[in-house]
Amino acid sequence: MRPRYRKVIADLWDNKARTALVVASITIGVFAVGMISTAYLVLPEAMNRGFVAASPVNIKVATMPFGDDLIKSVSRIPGVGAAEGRQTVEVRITKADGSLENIELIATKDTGMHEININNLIEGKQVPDDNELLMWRDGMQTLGFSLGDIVTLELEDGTIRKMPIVGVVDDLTHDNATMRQPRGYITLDTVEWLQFEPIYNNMWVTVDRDTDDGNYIASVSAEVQSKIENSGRPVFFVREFTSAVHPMASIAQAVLGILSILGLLIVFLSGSLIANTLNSLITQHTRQIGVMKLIGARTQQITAIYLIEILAFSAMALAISIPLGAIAGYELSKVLSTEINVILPDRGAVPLMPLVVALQVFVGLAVPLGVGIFPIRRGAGITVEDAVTGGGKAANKESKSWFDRTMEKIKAFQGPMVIALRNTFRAKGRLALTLFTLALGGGIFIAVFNVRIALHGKVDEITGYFAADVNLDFDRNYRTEEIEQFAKQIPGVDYIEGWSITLGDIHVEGQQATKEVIMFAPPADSRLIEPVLIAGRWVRPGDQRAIALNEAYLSVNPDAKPGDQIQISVNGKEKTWTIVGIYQFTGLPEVFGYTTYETLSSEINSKFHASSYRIATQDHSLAFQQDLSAQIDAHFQKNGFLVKEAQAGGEFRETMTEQMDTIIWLLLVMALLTAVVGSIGLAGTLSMNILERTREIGVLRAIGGYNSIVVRLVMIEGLIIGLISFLLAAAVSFPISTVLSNVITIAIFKSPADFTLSPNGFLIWSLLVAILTTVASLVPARNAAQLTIREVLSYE
Amino acid sequence: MKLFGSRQPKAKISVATAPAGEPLIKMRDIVKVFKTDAGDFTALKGISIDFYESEFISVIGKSGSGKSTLVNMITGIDRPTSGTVAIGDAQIDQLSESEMARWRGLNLGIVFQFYQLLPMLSLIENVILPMQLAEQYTPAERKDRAMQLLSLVGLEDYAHKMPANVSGGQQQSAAIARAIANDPPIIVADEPTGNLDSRSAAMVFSLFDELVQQGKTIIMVTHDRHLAAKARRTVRIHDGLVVDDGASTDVVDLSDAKPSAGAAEAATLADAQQEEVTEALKHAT
Repeated sequence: MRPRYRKVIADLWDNKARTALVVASITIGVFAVGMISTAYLVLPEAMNRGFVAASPVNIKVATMPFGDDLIKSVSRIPGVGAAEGRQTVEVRITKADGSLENIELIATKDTGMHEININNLIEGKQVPDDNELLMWRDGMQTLGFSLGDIVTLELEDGTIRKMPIVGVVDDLTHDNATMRQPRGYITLDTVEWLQFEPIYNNMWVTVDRDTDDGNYIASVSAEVQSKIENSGRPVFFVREFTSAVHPMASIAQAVLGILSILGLLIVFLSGSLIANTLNSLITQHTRQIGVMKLIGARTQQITAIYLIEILAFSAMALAISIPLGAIAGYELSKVLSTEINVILPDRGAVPLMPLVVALQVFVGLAVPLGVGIFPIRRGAGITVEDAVTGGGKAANKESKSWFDRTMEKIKAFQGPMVIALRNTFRAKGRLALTLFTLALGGGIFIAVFNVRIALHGKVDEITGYFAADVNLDFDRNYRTEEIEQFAKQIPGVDYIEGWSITLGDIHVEGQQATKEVIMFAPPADSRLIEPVLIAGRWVRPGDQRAIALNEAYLSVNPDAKPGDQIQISVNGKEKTWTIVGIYQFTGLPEVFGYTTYETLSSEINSKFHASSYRIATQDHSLAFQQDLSAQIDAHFQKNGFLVKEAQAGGEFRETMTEQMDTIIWLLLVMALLTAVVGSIGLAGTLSMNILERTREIGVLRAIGGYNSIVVRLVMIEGLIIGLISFLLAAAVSFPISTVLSNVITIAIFKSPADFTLSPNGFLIWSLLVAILTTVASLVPARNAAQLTIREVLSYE
Repeated sequence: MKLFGSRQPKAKISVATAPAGEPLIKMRDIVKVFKTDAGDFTALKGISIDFYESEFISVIGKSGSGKSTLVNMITGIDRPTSGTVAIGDAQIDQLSESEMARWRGLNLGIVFQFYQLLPMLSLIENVILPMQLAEQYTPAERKDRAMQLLSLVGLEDYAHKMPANVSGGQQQSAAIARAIANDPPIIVADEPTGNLDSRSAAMVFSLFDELVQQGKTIIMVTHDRHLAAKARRTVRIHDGLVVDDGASTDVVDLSDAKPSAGAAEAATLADAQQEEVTEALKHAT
């Protein structure tokens, strides 16, 4: 083997710790690139494939009961791809924990023959027989069931029906990220067994082309509605969906986008680690370089030797990070897939992707070579004189900054403390890179906790619009006074409000079609809603047909503003309403409007009556809410009321925050990965510092410095770096928190989050940085303590 | 596994002394073998030698003769492969690295050829440091003493300068001040004037001579026979063995090495400077 290659191998082998440090630095960056780019390719592909294969519905029309004739007639409308009938009913199901919850059951004649919203079978049977139930995967988790369980359904008149769960399916067209009601699939005969009429009440239609063209879908929808109305049936509501892009695509893109930014950051940080280590390597090799030059080596030859060393580091890192990145990328996709309703192919079906590998190879080579070329050129260009005299004349003319002079003037500390303090700031470039890495890792870590609080705040804000501590719904209207009296008999109930809820149609100016609005009407003095207003005000006592609409209305009428008068049909009567405010909701396309109970109950002729109640409890914990919900349910049933559902408001919040928390966990993992890069950087910096100060440690020993003094020096230096990095991390966490919170909330809720500060992030990071810096300092400190003066002299 | 080696209880470390007429340093049958890729190399071949209180000894010999290895056995920088080194009551070849460092802090001052001041500390901080490490004197006393020692070596005006900002001679003077900070009974100097001009070298010699007058034992490794001749006793090492040991004036065929350019001049200057140093040293020690 040629001597120059032998030198490369010797350099790699002789200083194994340094080799491990550089390889680990490259590996982390390339691993992050592999993991995220794998997820970037796997997830959207699986998302779209599953979505298109499910043949998602484009038009949903709710109407009076109909049969096969109307379906045939609709399917012959030009532009209709397929038309199918569905019966949707709601019953109460006893959850595995014994509590009750409503479940939506969707029925067709033959669930196996669907052409629209085709379910994806997870396990069990694809098609249920009569009196059997197919369950939606998410519902199984919410209710606590597994395949083969017998579920108990409670019908409106109190009749109990038991059905086995024969299959678990996934509805890949599911479009709601935030509210997930359990859903099951049954046959039409089963509907009859559940005491409903075995007929359809929903028409589901797909269009024959341009499934991403909202206007085309609307034009076909108008024809379908006209056909249904011509059959003598009113259209209760219509919903239209484009189906070229998965409804959760924007959320997936946002999450992957954030992860990509973090991944790039990790690459950047690992680049700074590599730069640090290679700088140190070249400094240590200065004399060798001088000797090589002395015996005739040219600058280019020396440069080539060290570039080959970098390539060797890269090759080792790539060998580790390519397979690991692929595995982690698949696992990351898996975690995300459950949140965004995607079925991933098996791990075995996801081989190494050439594009990902190419990207990893590029990053694995370009970053180390890019950051390594500068120290190598500096080292290779050194003169023989400078190399053998350790820097030559230039090195002796030490220029000092104001900072150095300030450090020299610090007299507050003595002995080892002052040594540690001044040592910390000696290699400023290296310190800056280490601080940058640790501070950024810490900043992201702290920010993740702030983002979590901001997201939870957003969830609270949203659930506050429709959920109280307990939501109590009846199958029919009852006098609000009567319900109030009964509710107050239950200990723990603070107060109760009766809400009117109905559907209305807004007549949009210049358009023939109407826009459905779901109208909520709490009492005018309701204490339960704290709206976030974009414009205008909230409804007030004394308002006459005043309405506050959510931001979705702006997509129907972008010029809408408070004070505008609009026509809304409620209960078949079209009247003029005044928009008093526009409030911020979730970014859902549905239009929601809030008016006063006094107004709406009068419009729907149910004054002093309501079927929907919101109850505030004395204790707002989820456990208390759940316990009280069960008591309220039992109490009202016992007294002969037809209870549809009594649900703890915290459960809505729980469902939504669980999904948010998955994203938070992913961010936290990335933040920890950044922190690990920072710790490796710190350990490397301390090790390099010690290597360069071996002589000084020996001298310290020579004048009486015993083990614990030497250890203390290194540990204090590590902790000073940790402390400074913590302060910097705390500072950078503010802008990072704002950006991360906004990107996520805008992707999910279409509105920015309020900036919130969590002390937890600061506390946990301060502990973690103390642990990380201690651990990162231990090995260098131990190595320093084990140095003997003789080794120092041989170093000389 | 003990991460940082065993942490010994802080045993009381005493200052090395010897009864009248007894040697302060006793080296017996010292053999030192270095293992190298080319095979074993025996640097010391069974040396037995004693050094007494208030002796000024120069150790001379060719490069590779074993002279530095011999003094490394005394400073604890290296350990004998076989044989024993006793200094006062301490069997120093038995001490751990950390115990050795503590012991050294009180008993031994080392002066290196390349000064070896800690670059991040000012001259006065370098002198204070051994006192802090050995927990000697109160903080106020340490500062006063450090200043006295720096005055002694003519550096009172440079006390707060950093090492990089003073000359080599001044650095070596500060290193000597540091070596005597804890008033150790023994000072070991390895080529202390090898890097100095003649005037600085003379100053160093004067200091050493006066320290010997004060009762210190100084063991100095040097190549320079003229400077070696200024010591009271000269030990010549050749090929790992002591080949001459006697009064410096008796030393014959001293060197294999040429005297340094300024060595003769330094020897003369040393005599002239000795008187002024003596006066200052009396105050400091």
